Order: sequence, then structure tokens, then C-alpha cells
Amino acid sequence: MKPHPSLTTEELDELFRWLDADPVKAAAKYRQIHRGLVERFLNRGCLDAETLADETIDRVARKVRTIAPNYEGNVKDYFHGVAKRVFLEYCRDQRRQARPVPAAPEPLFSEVYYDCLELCLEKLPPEKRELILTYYAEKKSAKIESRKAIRRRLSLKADALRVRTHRIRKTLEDCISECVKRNET
Amino acid sequence: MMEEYGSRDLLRRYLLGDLEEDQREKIEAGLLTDEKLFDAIADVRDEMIDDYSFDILPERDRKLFDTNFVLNPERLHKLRVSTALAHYRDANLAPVSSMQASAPLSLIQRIFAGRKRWRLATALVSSLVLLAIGYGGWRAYEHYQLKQRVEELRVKQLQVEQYLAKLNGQDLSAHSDSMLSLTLRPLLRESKATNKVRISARTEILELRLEAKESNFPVYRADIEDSDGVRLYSVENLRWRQDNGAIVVFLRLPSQLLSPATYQIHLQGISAQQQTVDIGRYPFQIVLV
Repeated sequence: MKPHPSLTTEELDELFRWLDADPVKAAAKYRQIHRGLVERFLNRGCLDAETLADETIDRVARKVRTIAPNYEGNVKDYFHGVAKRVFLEYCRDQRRQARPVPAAPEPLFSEVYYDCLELCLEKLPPEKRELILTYYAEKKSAKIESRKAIRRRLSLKADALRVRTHRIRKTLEDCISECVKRNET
Repeated sequence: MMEEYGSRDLLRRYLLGDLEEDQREKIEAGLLTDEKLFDAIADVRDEMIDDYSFDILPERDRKLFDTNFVLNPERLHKLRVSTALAHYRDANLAPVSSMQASAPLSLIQRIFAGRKRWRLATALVSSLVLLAIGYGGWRAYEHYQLKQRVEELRVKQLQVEQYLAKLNGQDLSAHSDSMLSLTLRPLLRESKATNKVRISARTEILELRLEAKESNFPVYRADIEDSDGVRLYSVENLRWRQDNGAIVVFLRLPSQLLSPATYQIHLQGISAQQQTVDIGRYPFQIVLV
């Protein structure tokens, strides 16, 4: 795929105005579209999803001046259509290039991660630590009965359990990320 | 709005690349504008990563994950965290069993089928309920005993750690006759050497001199771990000194605390901002002579 020069300020402003007259809302929509595109490309097997998402937005931005005055329909559909074309071109380029030798798979277990996990678990407030450890102690099977058992023990509804553990898990991930970076420097 | 895209299972199929093209297109169009859909997919993705790490994905899904699930840096980080959690669970956590589910639904349906069986059904169900209550009471007591035991061990651990803190803060020059000193260097990756520490009946205190490369930290913390890396005790507020030209952190342990086995000291530096940095691990083996 040939590289495009970066967008001008005018092109970016026009894109934002097309997304929404309110600049704050436009920025929020832009972020939503960008991350949606990244997720889409990742789930289509594209490791360089960020680049493809940027390429999609760049192409739309360059067309806004000509299409916006007469465009009818949902803006997202236009992005969606461009993303499909970008993906097809990506696949064609991949097929044309010589297949690189696949790298050895990254090891998933890391001692640094394990050590950082222990440190970060200790930093959690006791009740959050107990909840997350109880959740994973019981995570032996995907059977519904296991999750019901945890909810009964903790007096939580299904969604509430999931939301709470998801938040604690996010805190752990951020803590571990910082810890790993410190260990690597 | 979420409902129009389908169930959590459908989203999982999407992430595994296991959907028809038109279904994928529909979800991907929604991703650009529907925050709830985006969050739901993130949630399903994280759950799937956990299931993969905890080895509870069905075989077919596992293969799809290996083939189709692209690991960008963010996803790889999540997978590594999840893998670490799985290992931690296996090393440290035992599941607390829940109460067993009541009798299977089909049996209950058969018991209550037909009016003529009503009295027998009532008697049977009452017996089952009484049994369940009795069993539940026993399991609750068992759980209570387990919690008590865990609490006793925790209190004992705290008491030992308090004693160790006191020991490492004292001037022990008067006990030099009964103290055994040993210098340890941090374990190198390629090295499998373990220092043997020979302790006699006269040895009351083992003084480990842990050589560190850096003296940047106001205090250090030493975790005494067994050969599996399980933390037994911690000693905080250790300080470094110059000893024969080397930076050394002194750690004193009562000999009676260490039975013949292999241990390691995990030394960490604690910055003024309370951040911890790994200094090294110092394995040693206790041998009684």
C-alpha cells in the first residue's frame, strides 16, 4: 500500500465538521470511529491495524469536501465502506509480498509478569484482592454453576460480578504494565 | 441497542473469526458508533483471553484462537497477565467449594408428576431439604474452621515478621560467637549454583550479606521464599552498607527458622516514592552439621 502524506489542518477540520457541528462531540466520534476501525482490522487478522485505521480515516478526510454536501445516510457507513476497500487492498498486498518466515511464538508465561502480579495484588485493597482471587480460584471450568457459586458467595448479580472483576482486572493490568516497564529499564 | 448484534457467544464467535461474512459486517459497522457494543466486545475478548489462559476454552475455540486471534501489544499484555494469574492460581489458591446443587430437575419433575404421588413427593422433598440443611451446616463449619486456621497461620507469620524486624534492627556484636555470616551474590540466569550453608547446633543467627549492585534506595525489603518461590516471610527497612568495597544489605535470620531445605532471598529496593525495584534473588541451601 503506497504511503499517503499526512492530512492538512483544513482536511482535518472539514472531517470533524462532517462528523458533528460541535467540536467536542466531533472529537468523541472521531475517537470512537478510530478505535472501532482498529478493533475491526485486528479481528480481521491485521497486526498493523493502527496503520490501516489511519489510512481509512485519511482517505475519508480527503473525500469529505466533495462528498459531504450531497451525502445522505449515516456517516459511519461511509467509513465502513472505505475500511472494506482498505482491507481488500491490504490482503492483496500481503499476497503479493513474499511471506516472511514466521517468528517464533512469544512465550506467554513471564517471570517478570508473575513477580509484578504478586506485587500488584498486594497493592490492592483487601476486599478487591479477595474478590479477584476468589473469582480466579473458582475459574476451573466454563460451567455456569461455577459462576453462580461465586455470585452466591459474594451476593452479587451476574453483571455486577463481571463489571467489578473487570474493573479490578484493569487496575491490575495497569499496575503490572508499569511494573514490567520498570523492570525492563 | 446491544441486543441487535446478538449474544455474548455471537461476539465470541466474531472475535474467533467464526462468523458468516454478513454477520461480521454488521458487527463491524456497529463498532464505529456503538459504545456499548465496543465495550461488550472488549469484555467478551477479555473473558476469552482468560478462558484461553486457564485452559477452559473448548478445543475447537482454542484452535481458532491460535489461528485467528491477532496479538497486538495490548492483547499480548492482557494474555500475559492472564497467564500469570493462571499460574498464581495454581500455585497459591484452592477453590472454596460451593454447596452442591440440589437434586436434578428431571427427578423433581418425576416426583411431582401426578396427584397420587403428592404425599410421597412431599416426604421425599422434605427429607432432601433437611439433608441439604445438615450438609450445608457441616460445610459452613468446615469453611469456618479453614478460615480460622488460615487466620492462625497469618497471625503466626506476622509475629515472626515482627521478630525478624526487631532482630535486624539490633546491634548483635555481642552474639558474634553464635552468628554465622555468609556473603551471597545475586543469581545469574545461566548459573545453577546454590550456596550451601552449614549450620551447627551452636549457630543461633545466620547473617546473610547480600551483595547488591546499586545503593540507590533508602531501604530494602527481603522476601524469604521456599524453593517453589512461595513467600514465607518478609523483612522490611533493611539498609545497605559498604563492606570490603561492596554494597551489601545485611539480613539476619534465626537458625531455628530454617529447616534443612533450599531457600532464596528475593531482594527489592524501595524508593522514596514507595516504588519497588528488583535487585536480585539469592538462593541458598541449609545443611545441618
